[in-house]
Amino acid sequence: MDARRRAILAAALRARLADVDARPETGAAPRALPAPEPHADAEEALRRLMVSVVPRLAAGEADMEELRRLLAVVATAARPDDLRFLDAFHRVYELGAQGLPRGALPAAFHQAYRRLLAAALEELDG
Amino acid sequence: MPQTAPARTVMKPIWIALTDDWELRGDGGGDVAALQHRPALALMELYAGCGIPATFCVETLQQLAFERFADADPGLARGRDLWRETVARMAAGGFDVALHLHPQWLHAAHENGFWRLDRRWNLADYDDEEIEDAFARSLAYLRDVCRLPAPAAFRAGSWGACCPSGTILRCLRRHGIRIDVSVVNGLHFWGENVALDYRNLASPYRPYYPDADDIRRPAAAPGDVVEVPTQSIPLSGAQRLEVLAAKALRLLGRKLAGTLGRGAAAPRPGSPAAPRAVAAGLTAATTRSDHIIDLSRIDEVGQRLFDRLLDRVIDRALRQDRPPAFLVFENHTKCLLSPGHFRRIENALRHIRARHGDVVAFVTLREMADNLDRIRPALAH
Repeated sequence: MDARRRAILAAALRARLADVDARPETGAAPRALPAPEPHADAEEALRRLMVSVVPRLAAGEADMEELRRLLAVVATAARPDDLRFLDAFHRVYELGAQGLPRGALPAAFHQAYRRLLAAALEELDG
Repeated sequence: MPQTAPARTVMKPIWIALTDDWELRGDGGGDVAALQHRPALALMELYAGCGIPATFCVETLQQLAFERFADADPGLARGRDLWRETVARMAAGGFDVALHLHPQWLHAAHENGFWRLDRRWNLADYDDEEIEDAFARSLAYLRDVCRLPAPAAFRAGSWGACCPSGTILRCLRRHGIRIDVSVVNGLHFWGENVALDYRNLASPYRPYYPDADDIRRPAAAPGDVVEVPTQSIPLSGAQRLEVLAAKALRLLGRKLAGTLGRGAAAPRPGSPAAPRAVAAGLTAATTRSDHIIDLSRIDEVGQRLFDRLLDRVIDRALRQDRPPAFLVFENHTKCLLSPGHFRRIENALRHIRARHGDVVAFVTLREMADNLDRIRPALAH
């Protein structure tokens, strides 16, 4: 990865990390997303999250329980080197910042997101 | 199971809008089912499978012409109905719809089973009333018949938005259309039906506020409309040789298949002669200086070279000033007539994701329009 690309990505991650750190949910008492169901398929969870749940979230119609359940699976499978999973968290976070009712996204989501951002930044800086 | 693509995210410095000009042939030829309905469904399926949003630039004057004559011709009625059904599917599938106008349909007549269209293919060649009428009636149709939200973007048919551009730009402003994607650096035609010159633009690849009278020039002050050039890239000498080689291979393949010489259908008896501008280069995506990033013409340069051109376009955007960089790519469903076309498009998208997934987000033109405050369109110096 060339230096300019790395710098652009690192700057974006740092800015987002600062934004997430500033949210009260992130600093709340540690919470965990629900444990994923055994044999949960991370690819299917990701597909369902992005193709079905997120658009409904954007329209204000999502089932928050289903969202939490899918996020739990996605968070478990997320790796810093697989952008699709991190991007799913980006998207949900941005929707939360745009129009969901305050507190609609659980503290566990913000805390999981923070961990992913920090890991991605570490991967980039490493 | 197709893998889910990375979602649109403001974290990405490169925003790519995949656009598709959805229309029949410029001379009115072709069948809605074959050139529009089926390939659009296949394209939507491809994009949905990849989780990629896209924008269909829906040519609406054609549909208004179909509406005028549908009562007298069952074939036209079927085409009209299929057009409506396909647009409904676009909306239901979450795809963005932009406005696309080919003005030759404005005064179309249907005689003896053929369309007789105007010989002027550049919207700028029509008078103010005609241009305003084209916008007003098309947008009313999309709103009242198709129940679509007002388009956020526009592309002129045959890229013809100049010159002069004043009335076109005023119409965009009046109707709340915030983005124009009619300009592509390097394109130039001098034919019976279209004459325009987009060579050597002051802002060839980056968004700019267009001058009130000449859409090719940046304005001195910000305005309500932003020009986001459709992406093109110069070919090196070696790459031009590659293109020629790819063309020679295609010709050889067609000769071996026995189809050489049967590519272009001769005008049928009683049909209007095909405009000479078609031969003049409207079908050519490669101009003398720049190659248009058109997903329907990957075979003109070959998959490998096209992927390298994509790399250069994205790397060029990364070198620009602050992100996000807005990149618009072109496509024509009427040219997607074989499984190979779709395979090549999918390969190109996989290539972008594999090589540039860390920096690229796929968005719609509407999302670009909703985020114009994130960019600094160029102004005249």
